[in-house]
Amino acid sequence: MKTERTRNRDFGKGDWKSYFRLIPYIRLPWIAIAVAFIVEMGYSEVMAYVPVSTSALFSGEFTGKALGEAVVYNVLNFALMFGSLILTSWVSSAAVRRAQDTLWGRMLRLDMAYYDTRDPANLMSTLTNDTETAVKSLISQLVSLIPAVYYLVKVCLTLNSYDWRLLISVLILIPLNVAYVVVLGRWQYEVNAGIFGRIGKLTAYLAERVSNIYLIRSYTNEKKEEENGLNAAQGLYDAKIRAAKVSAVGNLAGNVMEVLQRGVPVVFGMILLQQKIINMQQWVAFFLFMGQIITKINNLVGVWGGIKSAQGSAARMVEILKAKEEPQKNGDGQKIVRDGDLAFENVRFAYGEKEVLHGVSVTIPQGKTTALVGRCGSGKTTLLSLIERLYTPSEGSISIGDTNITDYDLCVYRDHFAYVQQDAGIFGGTFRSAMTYGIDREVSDAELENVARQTGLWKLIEALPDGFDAGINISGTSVSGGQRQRIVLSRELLKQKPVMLLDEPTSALDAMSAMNIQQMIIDLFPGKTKLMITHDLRLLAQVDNVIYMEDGQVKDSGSPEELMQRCEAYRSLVLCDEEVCA
Amino acid sequence: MKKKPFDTFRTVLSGVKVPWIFMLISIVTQFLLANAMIGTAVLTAAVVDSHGNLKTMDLLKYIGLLLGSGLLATAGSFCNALLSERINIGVRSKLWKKLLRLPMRFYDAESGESLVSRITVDCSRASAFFGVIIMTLASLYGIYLAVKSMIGFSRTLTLWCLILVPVVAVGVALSGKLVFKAQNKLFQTQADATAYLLERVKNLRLIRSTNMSDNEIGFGRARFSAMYRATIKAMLCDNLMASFIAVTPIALIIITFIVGSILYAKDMISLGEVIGFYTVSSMASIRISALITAYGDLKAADGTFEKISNVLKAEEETDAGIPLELPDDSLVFEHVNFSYKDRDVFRGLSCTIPVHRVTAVIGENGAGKSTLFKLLERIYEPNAGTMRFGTRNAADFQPKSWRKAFALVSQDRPLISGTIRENITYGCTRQITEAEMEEVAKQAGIWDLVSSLPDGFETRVEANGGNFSGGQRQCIAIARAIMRNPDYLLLDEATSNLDARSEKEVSEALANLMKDRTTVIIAHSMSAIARADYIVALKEGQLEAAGTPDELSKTSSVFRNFVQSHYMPQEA
Repeated sequence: MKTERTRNRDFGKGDWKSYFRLIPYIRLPWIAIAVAFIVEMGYSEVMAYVPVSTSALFSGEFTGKALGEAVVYNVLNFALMFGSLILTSWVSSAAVRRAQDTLWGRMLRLDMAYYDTRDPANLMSTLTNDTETAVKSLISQLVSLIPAVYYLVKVCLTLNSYDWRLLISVLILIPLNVAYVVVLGRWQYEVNAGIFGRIGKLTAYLAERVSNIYLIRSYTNEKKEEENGLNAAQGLYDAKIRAAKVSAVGNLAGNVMEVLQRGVPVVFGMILLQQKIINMQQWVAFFLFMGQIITKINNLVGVWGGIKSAQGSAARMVEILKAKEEPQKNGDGQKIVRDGDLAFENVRFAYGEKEVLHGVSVTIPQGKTTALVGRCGSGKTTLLSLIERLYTPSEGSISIGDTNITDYDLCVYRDHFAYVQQDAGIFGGTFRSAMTYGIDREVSDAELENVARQTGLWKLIEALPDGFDAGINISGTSVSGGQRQRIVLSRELLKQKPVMLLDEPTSALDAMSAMNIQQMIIDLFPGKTKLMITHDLRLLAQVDNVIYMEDGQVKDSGSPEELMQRCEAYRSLVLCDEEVCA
Repeated sequence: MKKKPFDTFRTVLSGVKVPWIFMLISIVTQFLLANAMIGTAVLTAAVVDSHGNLKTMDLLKYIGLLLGSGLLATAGSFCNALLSERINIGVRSKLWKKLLRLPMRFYDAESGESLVSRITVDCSRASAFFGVIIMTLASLYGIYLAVKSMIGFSRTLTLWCLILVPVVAVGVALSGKLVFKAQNKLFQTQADATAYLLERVKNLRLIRSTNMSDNEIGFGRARFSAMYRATIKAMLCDNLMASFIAVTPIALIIITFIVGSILYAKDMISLGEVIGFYTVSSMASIRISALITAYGDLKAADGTFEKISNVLKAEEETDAGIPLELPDDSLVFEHVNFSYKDRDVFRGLSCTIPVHRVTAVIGENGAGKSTLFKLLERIYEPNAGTMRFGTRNAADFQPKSWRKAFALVSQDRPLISGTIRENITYGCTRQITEAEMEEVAKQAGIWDLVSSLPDGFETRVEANGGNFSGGQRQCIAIARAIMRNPDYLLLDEATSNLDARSEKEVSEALANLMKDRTTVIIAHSMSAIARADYIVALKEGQLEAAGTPDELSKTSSVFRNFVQSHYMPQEA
């Protein structure tokens, strides 16, 4: 888990280009940004005048005018500060939401191949954390970078109008300050990365052990695990202490900086005051300015670091935004699928570098039951994915009847199939929502009950007080694997599609139920094309047609009897299984 | 009610070494710091009143105070970090030890994620509590010093400033409640969106193949909008509270300078004193807002301590009983009732697992086969009824020594992250020689695999064994069981995870493992039945029938169904 995360961080090293390239991809609320910018400019303007107006009071000018001016400027300053704070975070929240919308829409349409090499948890954190980091940083730069510079220039001009030497004393300190922030920032970044790594390690360790607590108990390994846990905690402790030491050194250096920043100008100002080069009010204003300037400079230096760290996030977002989308349609895209035999013609396919189908040519006859058999890794599931157009063949073509499947509009095409995927999942919600996911017609309770009886789900649902409206946890973790598979089967049966693709549809069920359900599918839908991947060799007596695959190729296909007679490899697969069963 | 927070506090910290010395240093530095700050303000007043004729001594004093404060702040925060990290690791260790000893039922009631966050997140929060206490003390002391110094500058001005206190306090308290509510709502929407996205991202294939992309875009948008609204609300509440705090300095300027100018005109106060007063009163207002924050943190810590102490107070699994040193005997269930939190499994189960024989357990999904194993291993204790070891009650034996007599080979998630060696020797307390490793690997049928790997036994196993095939995982798990050399072997047979060839390899390894041991198999295939000389058929939480396969083919419909569904109709 942790290695994944660091790898992810590495790939997203980021650069200035991708940071700014983000702008055209996400629809930024430009008008709101402009308003926030204007308010921020106003804030800078007023803020630069606050010390001037307040210093009159401090130097003993207790007139009504001075008091009034000081109060007005302070109140205005306060109002603008909050105004700009609220506006900026409003704008950036709105922009984050838009970016998330865009990114999520894109992710749902990306080519499936994009996901083969990526960890879902990372993609998710790009969607939630990275958008927030990158977009917020972008907005805050757009809104406040120019006003901050404007403020500094204005203050420098004001100080210069008092005396040029005051300006110099400020300017000398700036490079020192920048150096301090940059050096310390880099050091702290490293130390913090260490802490994150350790937290990741500890969390990953604990998560795995807690979910395998049964194993720990069963093997009475509590002592050892206790030690391992303490070691992981100790690692985090060490990293934290290292961070504390670094920040202590940083604090000390910062303290010296502060003495320089406050002390030197004050002493210097004092000397100028004594020599009557500046007056009391100017000295006080200068003193007040110093506090503001230091904060502003630190903020400006922080901007650099902020952009640097947001660059990685931006790069990860841009990568998704730029990635290839699923080919939705070819040309106009035919809108009605005419049923027919499914034919593969010399189809090759590779996941990344690794070719898994080496020129497959085979026909799956319409209206028949076809069993797809072969050892693990022979390419059976890939074959189904290609039929479903989850992936596109790198070579060769697939057709239904005499139409190439890529000629159909993608949505219309997929609507032609019911597809029970291997280890198929469900989404949390209720039994009803899980069973009717992706079905846009109204499904009556009677229909639900009927299909639940067929898949053996009814006994469970009947016993639930809320029936079909009983809740299911996220990812269906509250129901057993067998029940989950029955829900998936129910869903796909309810769809009543002309073609059924079944990828080990009963692998999580006990043998009796598995047999019954597969039998039911064969019996109940006699006219439909059914393509079934199965390890259940007993089923082979029932099917019309068998396709035997080995190492990414179709070795043979035909009726079960034919294959038994002429295909040596197929025979050994079946007999080997019998031997075990005998 | 009043006593409860203190109770939970004591539960969490008892046995944890709190480095009081660091706490003391932290407090002392904070107090000195408060003094130094007031000192600077007084000095500023002196500087102003000197009208430019500044004494060098005062200048040096000013710089000295600045430097000194910095040093103190550094030392203070370092001690604070040491303090909280020491406590953090102390509580963490204690909690982890406790978790490892809690009964399984505890794990059924809480999700794994929340238990993990108890150790990672909540412990950090609890240890930050000491920092909060120090800040509270420092704030109180700082306020006291500031007010004393304010009175020193001018009693009248001080009284005028007191008007502010109730206004700010009420405003902050009210808006604080809003902030709390808005934050909670925000966390909720965030958690909801995260859970939604994670679920969907993990199963994009389903969305694709069901043509649901457009709908999911809409669902996602609804989550993002909810999050957006909650963020805006939380931000507004935050700013409302902040504005109550921020209003103080402005009010202070108004009061100080209006009242101050009147007093100045009457010559009752010097200019320096007005400015000194203003500086000190701003310090007081900063201290007060720090106190308010600390109060909020204290309330939050209360909840955290309670969460941790709930775990620490939970009853541990017993470690009492006599060690199991008797010769192997049959295991007998007598009228056993058992249920999980929300699911009944056994209602009056009575059956025998005969010693030195191979027993196959059959039954439909949910008949309680896996639960039977957990009861045999005493991972759970029955709700009613007893399990006997020969004639003795199994509960008389020490659970640890009891479990040492068993080894389980389970079908799901058999491996943990680490190396192959760590997985095979999991739970072994003695030293294992290389020769022994090799012997075990050969018996389990993984020697060829291990010797083909460049790192051999030190090859990394990823979480849940993701980098090995299903058959390899099973065989490594079998090697672990062989290494354990148990008296009782529990096999949860894999269903259809394996293709025929891998299944053959696994079954050879199993045959080696089963030699001369009392074995119980959860059977899914005829091959398991073929190995068994005794069958236990479960149905609806009870024993349906038990006996030899021959007997059961006459008495048990569960068994007949089982055989029938595994029968090969098509004999060549």
